[in-house]
Amino acid sequence: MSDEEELILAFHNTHEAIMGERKLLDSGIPVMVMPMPKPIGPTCGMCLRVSPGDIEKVQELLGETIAGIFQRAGETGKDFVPWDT
Amino acid sequence: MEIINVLGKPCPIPVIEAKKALRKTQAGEKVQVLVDNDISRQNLEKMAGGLGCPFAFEKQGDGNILVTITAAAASSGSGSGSQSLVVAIGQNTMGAGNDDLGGILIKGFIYSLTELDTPPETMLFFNSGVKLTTEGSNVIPDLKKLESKGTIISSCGTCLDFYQLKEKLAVGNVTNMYAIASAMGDAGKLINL
Repeated sequence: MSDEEELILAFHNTHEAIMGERKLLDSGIPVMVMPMPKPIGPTCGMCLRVSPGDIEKVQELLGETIAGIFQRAGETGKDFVPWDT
Repeated sequence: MEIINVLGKPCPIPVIEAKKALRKTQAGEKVQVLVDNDISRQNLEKMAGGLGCPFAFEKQGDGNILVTITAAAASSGSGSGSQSLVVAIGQNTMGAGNDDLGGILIKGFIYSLTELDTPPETMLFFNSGVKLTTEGSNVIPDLKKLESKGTIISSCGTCLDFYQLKEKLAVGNVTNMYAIASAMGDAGKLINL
């Protein structure tokens, strides 16, 4: 999964991010962590990074705990926009 | 031109010594390093690649390898003006308290290092920190990204052995306590987690 492609999941709180990561790891879905980037939210939360190919399974497993799904934008890859399905 | 002799020196000493020399070298000038094994040669090549420095090597009759690295703007100390940063990670969590929270924090921290303008020169992993550099860790891609930017990733061999992870190292190289102490001692800045 390259940086450009990955989808970024935001959660309502850190507990849900931690539980979400565990659920995905237990289900064998590759997942990585990143601190919530400023353009996504004002809080100091943690986001999860997943491959677009896994997003349906991810949504099924994590359901309502996902507060938002984002993708990278811009030349530097440091801008984030809501995921365009 | 001075040849840096690191025959018999364990990882990551050859890379640290070469980087030190490169910092004092103007862009376009060369640094030569004499190593006695191909792993060291490969590590030097990775480091040079990360800094954008042209790299060449020549096998000698006695089996030693003479490596030549040409300094680039990014490798010379005057260019970046920053002191070398060493990050030592002695556990697979960040901070004391809740381990679930600490687990996600350390992963977020390692990702954040990939976004620094100047990545760490060296990252040292010991005790349960080696669980981050071995199979089953989901920060391997971030650590590989740091490695591609020139960061040396070193895991403590005693610790890999203790946790029975010696065969499962997924990024970087194996180091020993002398090299860990030396890397810490030579650091311009040391972050110890």
